[in-house]
Amino acid sequence: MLIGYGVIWFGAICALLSVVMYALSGRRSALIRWARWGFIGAFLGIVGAEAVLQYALLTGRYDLQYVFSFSEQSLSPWMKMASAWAGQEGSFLLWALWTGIYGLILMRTAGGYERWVMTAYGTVVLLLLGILAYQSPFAPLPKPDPAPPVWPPQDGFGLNPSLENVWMKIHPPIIFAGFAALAVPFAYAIASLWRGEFHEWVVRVRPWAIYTTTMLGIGLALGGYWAYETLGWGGFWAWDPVENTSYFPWLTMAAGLHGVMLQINRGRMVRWNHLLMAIPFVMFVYGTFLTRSGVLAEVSVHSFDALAKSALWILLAMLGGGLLLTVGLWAWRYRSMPLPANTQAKPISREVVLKWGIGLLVLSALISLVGTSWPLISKAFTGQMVALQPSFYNQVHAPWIILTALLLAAAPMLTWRGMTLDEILQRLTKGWMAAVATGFALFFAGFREPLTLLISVLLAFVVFSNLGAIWRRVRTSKVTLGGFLTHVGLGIAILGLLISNFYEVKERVVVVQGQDTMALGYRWRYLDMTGNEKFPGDPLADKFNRVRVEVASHDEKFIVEPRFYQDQRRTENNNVVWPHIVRWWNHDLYVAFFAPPQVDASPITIRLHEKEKATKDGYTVEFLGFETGGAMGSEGFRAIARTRVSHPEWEKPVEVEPFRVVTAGGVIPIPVPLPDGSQILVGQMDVSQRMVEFQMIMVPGKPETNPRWVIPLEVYVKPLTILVWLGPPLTVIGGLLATVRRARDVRYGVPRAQGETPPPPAPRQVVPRGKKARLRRPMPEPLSAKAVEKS
Amino acid sequence: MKPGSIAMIVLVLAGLAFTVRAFINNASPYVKVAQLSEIQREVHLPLKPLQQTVQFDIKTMTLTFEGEDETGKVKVVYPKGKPNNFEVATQVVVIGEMKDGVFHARDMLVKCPSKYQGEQQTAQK
Repeated sequence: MLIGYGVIWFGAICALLSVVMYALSGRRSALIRWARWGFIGAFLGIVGAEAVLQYALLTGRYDLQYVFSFSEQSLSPWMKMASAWAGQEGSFLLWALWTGIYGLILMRTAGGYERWVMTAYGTVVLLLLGILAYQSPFAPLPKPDPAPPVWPPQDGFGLNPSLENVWMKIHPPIIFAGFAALAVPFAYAIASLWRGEFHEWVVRVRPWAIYTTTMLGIGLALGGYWAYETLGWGGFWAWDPVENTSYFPWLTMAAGLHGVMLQINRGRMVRWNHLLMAIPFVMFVYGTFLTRSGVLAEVSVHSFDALAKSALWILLAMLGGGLLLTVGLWAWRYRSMPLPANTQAKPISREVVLKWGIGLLVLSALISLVGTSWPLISKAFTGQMVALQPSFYNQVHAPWIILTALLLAAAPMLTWRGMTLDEILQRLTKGWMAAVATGFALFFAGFREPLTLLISVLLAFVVFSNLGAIWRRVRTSKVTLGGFLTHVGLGIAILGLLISNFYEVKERVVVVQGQDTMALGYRWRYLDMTGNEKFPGDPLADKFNRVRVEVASHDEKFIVEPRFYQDQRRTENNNVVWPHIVRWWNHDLYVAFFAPPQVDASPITIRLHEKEKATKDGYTVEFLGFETGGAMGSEGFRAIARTRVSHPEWEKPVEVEPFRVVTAGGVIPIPVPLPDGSQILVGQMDVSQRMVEFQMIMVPGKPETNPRWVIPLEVYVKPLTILVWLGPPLTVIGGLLATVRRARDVRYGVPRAQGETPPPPAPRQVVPRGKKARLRRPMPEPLSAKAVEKS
Repeated sequence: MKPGSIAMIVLVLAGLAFTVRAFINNASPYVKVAQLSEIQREVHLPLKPLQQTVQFDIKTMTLTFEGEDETGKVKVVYPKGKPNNFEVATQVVVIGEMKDGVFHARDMLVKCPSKYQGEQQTAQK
């Protein structure tokens, strides 16, 4: 696919042009037209690449490595399109695509910041296109030697069946929408430091920061739902490195957005906001490096592919360059950044609470960052790799969530200016009462572990306090509800995660065909399989096979249909589990296989060489000889064992031909019925030794020879999972509301609520120390709300 | 010093101490078979399972197998059933500790499918 390479190189050259022209446009403003067209060219290159890839996937160009590896003809068109991000190259392309889209918006909305911010942003686009140029999704499939008769292949190796679900269609695009958006605050932070302007940029970056945090949040939530719905370990979150690498950028960006709020409203955090806005992007690149380079392969349950060397170097350059640039520029500008007027905030004020909140968010992010990196750190320093158990994160976050919840509950009731202890307690009373009532309700519902109960009450406190704030604002017709709504959603979601995880009841239920099993207050009974059920056919190789198990208690009865599938095309990671979830309003019953379904039977076995004869349990079996049918090695090929069987109670011996047949699902023995109702089959065969093991099953009077399915199920009862589904949508709605609201601020200026906040105190100019610093030009005047409006 | 900042320092120190303690309690080193006799704590042990030694009791869901690395062999008991990909696993990481010459695994990591996999399998078709 030369055109694929072509559009990527075209995009990369345009991006380079754009970056150079933007950088030079300070002296000659006419160049800015070139720079803009350059960026549009880069964007078109990325869009073109995605279009070519989609075209290749939809038309089945299996001569491309990527299409061959991740797509197949039997997929629905939508699924074929979704396989565009099933692999490394495609997910980089998705990242680049979102980055391109945001770039266009940024270019139009950056106003006076365009030159600086687009130079930094364009560099990110350029590096992404560079990675795509070296790790191209359009690489041809290497021709094996000796070449197969049909070339190129007519069908793909296929998408991993565990990805073949609706979440695959929506989760990657959304989480990459968040990841890609991280580059915008990064570019703004770099631009602000470069330009030496420390006020306007926070107003401009705020909607982006809120949007990024929101998209990452919804991406994380969707990832959790995906894990819960399809992976079969009964949880939403496991502190796996892959999850953590999207968790710590998210938290840091959330901290940053509160820092930006503080600066806009109170003139604080001027020095730290650059780091909080820029570092999340660097963290994400670092996380991409961790998960794509294979360095954590032994630690994670996910499997990783290593990137191509040159692409990895570009990624490392992005990581090192981004970090050095941020820290270097920041250190260079540190002394010239204005400090706020030295007015001490009252101890009980929104300002102080926000500062603590930022501290806690950064702390949790750092702990997760260090924890995820610990195997590498320990290996580098001691030579021995040390991993952290997921329980580490749970333990650390127990006190963390207590403090965070207290802040989240108090924040909406506080004013910027501060208030007395009596005032705030009075305002918090109603919310606290409601929270305590919730606590009692939980206690009587049976959720009684003290620490969990305490955290639950505090989370309820967060929810009610923020709801109260929303109520107050609705009545006084103010529209800044978004932030409170996000906190309501977070409180609900975390409460759901906590309760559904801590009070989950887990039991292994091994259901044996023909026997009832009692577990978890239910009677479990194997019914049948919707696929090829008959032993010894292999229903495990049937992708659509559902194992039907009847579950009954004294007042209800339902059927669960968990699925287990062995993907025969793969030799590794080929077992796919689909859990079945039965939902009530207050709990889920989660049923998943914890091991493959197995056949339990003790057949009568007789091992014979060709022309041999033996008697066992009355049956005399004579192995007459081998025959074959069908093309050797291909599907439908049969290895037949001609056999004569006799029994004293039969009138005469019978000649039968049990065989093993090659199917898509492997080599399967096909049994043959005998006159007394029993069946004979070829258990194993060794053609080179001319030897066969015959098995007699379903022998009359010998029930142990009847094959029975053994269904090993892991069953979870998870209370209040509904909260996990209820919370995140509220957070998303709140986040998007706030994004729109703050995007309006960029155009119309930051409104100052009446009586709420005085304009930020005039920044105090720090007198620079040293000779060199004194020569520097004075800082530009800080922009007031009006000035922002003009630009 | 103001009482506020003292309270803050105390809180930060307490948090730090708590984090470090949790860190130490939950750190689990990666070891080789030869080191097992020296370490009396929970460890991560990467092993290549020897498939011909695998025994699985379907009634008790107990899996026993021998695994090896370049320093030696060890017998492993895992009470939680056979993990999904176990038969085809070339490498597992068992988490647990040695008792009476047998490694009692509390947990086991077998590489599971993710969207980042695929390439090495392509060559096999």
